[in-house]
Amino acid sequence: MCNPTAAVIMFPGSNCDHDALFALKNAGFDVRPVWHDYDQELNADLIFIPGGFSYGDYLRAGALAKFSKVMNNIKRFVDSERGLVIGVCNGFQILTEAGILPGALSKNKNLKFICQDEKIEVVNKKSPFTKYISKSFLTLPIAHSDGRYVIGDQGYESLESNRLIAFKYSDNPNGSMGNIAGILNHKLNVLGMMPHPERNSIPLLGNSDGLEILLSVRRYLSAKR
Amino acid sequence: MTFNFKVLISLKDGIVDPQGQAVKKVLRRSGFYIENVRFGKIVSITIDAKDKDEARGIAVSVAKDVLSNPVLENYEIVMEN
Repeated sequence: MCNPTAAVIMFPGSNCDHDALFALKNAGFDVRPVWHDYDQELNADLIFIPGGFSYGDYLRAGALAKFSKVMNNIKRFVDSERGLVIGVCNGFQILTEAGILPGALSKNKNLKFICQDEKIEVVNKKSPFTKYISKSFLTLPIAHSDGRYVIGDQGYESLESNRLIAFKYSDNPNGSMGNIAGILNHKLNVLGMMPHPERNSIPLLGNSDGLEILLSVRRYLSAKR
Repeated sequence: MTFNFKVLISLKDGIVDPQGQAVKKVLRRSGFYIENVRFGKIVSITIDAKDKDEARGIAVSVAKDVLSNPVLENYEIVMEN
């Protein structure tokens, strides 16, 4: 059986793209990088929008990347449920700016860039991204200054009642509403998260907890075939 | 005809403004008793349109859909000529 395929989107200023390619390959995906001006239909089982500082974070983090040609294709990819999308860190910011996920990421409460490991709880265990995670808690690195998840009261209630919160911080580092570290869309085919699974995918880089998420996706995709 | 606008973007209440907080601290340290400092952005735009209304319509869509994020920011449009 052939491996599932993953496309890693590269914007000018992305800097976790190679970590993502490495981690996904390690998790058994056939990987390829895709440049931001790619204007054809995206054929992949998984699209990974990596972290970094797309377009220098000008205007707002993720605000300019949403106008890239590839983003229109990602919207169609999500709407027609052709596969799964993960946005990590700046990738999460891009997904919220593009309106693919609700809410926004604002400046951390303590006003600092935070770079450290965080323990996160796997809250929703029914999505393709989390279904096959073997642990209740994962330890993953965060590295951001705009990671405080903000959403209106109504939006927050909708996330809670529809069980769309994927991950919560055990010890909230940035002031995110409801300790949110990652959320899902209604169709459960998009995950946005601030912690970096791709930076902790082999034991040498920590405890390889990030691999749990990538393997969950892989197992889900393989079972679907 | 061209029309000039200034789009003023400010953070909504409750959204942390680290620049404002840092500047407030420095101002207080320098002896200015300042109650609050909030930073925003001013974006000047020039629009070529057939009349004022059309130009304002374009300015509103640009301010709403591109220059500001409705979750975090408010915008205001000021026409200049």
